[in-house]
Amino acid sequence: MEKRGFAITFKWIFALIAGMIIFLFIINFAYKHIFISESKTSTILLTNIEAQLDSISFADDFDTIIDLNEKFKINLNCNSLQIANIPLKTNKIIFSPKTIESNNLKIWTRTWKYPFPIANFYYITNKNYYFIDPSYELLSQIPESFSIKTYPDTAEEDVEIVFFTRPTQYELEKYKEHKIKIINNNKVTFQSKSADYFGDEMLLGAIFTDDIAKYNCLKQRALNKLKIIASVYQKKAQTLSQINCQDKYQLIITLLENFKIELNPEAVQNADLNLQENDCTPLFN
Amino acid sequence: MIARLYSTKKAQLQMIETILVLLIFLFILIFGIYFYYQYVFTDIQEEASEISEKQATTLVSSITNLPELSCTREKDCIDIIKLINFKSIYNQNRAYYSTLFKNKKISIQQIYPEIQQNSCSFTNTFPIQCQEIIIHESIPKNYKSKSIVSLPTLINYPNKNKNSLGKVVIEVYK
Repeated sequence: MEKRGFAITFKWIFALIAGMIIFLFIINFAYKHIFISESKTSTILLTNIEAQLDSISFADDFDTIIDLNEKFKINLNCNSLQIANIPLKTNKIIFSPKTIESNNLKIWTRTWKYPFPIANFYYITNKNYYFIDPSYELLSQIPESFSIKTYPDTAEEDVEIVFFTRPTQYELEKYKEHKIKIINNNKVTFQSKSADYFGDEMLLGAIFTDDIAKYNCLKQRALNKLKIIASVYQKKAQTLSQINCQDKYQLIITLLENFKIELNPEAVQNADLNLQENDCTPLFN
Repeated sequence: MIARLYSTKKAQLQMIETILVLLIFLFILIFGIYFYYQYVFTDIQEEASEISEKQATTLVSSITNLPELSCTREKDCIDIIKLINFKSIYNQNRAYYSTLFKNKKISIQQIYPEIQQNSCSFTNTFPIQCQEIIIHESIPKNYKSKSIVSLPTLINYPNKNKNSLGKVVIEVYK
């Protein structure tokens, strides 16, 4: 065989292999660059959303719309927000559907008072809701940006039906194609599973959350925060009792200790008003 | 025979030349990518620094409205009795507050009326004689920079029904 001819072939093979390696290297670099860019965009967006939520963290009964400029799919879990597999841990209590795909976020905040301020609840949604037999008191609290209707049109898709009284069999049959929630006897029923709620703010949270596991997780976080704040007021009562009205604070200290186990906001509220009537410094009124 | 030897050496030289060209090309490519990534990482670090400062600014305004510290009737006000008892609450829920506050030093200082004594880590004796109460301190061992954000606030004495002037100071460590 001619070595000359063999050398040329060998050159071509060598050039092909070397070229392939460089090409793969460049493709790998391009993929890594795309991944870094997407991660950076997702992280910046999540951090901006978190910052905007922080800025309204002390507002009570405030609603706003965050413009995301383009459509994003956001996963709102119990303890984190996530865009494109990039999670961001959050300590905020956000009641929302598990996934929102939109170019804006409708947000509403309420301070959970039970009976003292405990935490700020955030409500985020992009769904439509039909309320059947709601109380005017509850309905008037919800901002207009949250699409709540009281005259259901079953032709509309992606609508959640919320019953505020026990529905009849006919009504259940009529709305069987839609997601249903039933509010009755201080419980919210998600399809077939029930959960408690404590106060109107938590009830609204149950309405705007589409998953009972997520709702229970958020409820537990709220109750953990309640225990912390109850301890804060207990210690405040103990300190105030050293200054003045020594005996008068004993009742509320005991009630606050029991409050961590069994929620009785009316008793705590009455005990605090009683302090005021006896010219003692109230804890939260 | 000499011609064959010359031909073989020429082929070998060409091969070495090709390999050297490839190697130099690869080195230039690797250096280019290295410097590009350095630029990208510097850009990301600057973004992170900006975000950290924004978070500190938001935190300083939300501290005065934390239910654990805030006055019940007024906004942007700190209840002195809640403040002096915050230490035990903080210790009982250290993991929660460490995640909330992160690498920062957060203190509440009374500006007026002036108090002569300096800083206290905490005290739960009342009335307090501390000009500054530190509610959280988590300083990393090797930090590169520190920025300070502060905001004036009211400090309420609920038993006396009076207010004094203070400020919330947050030192952010990066």
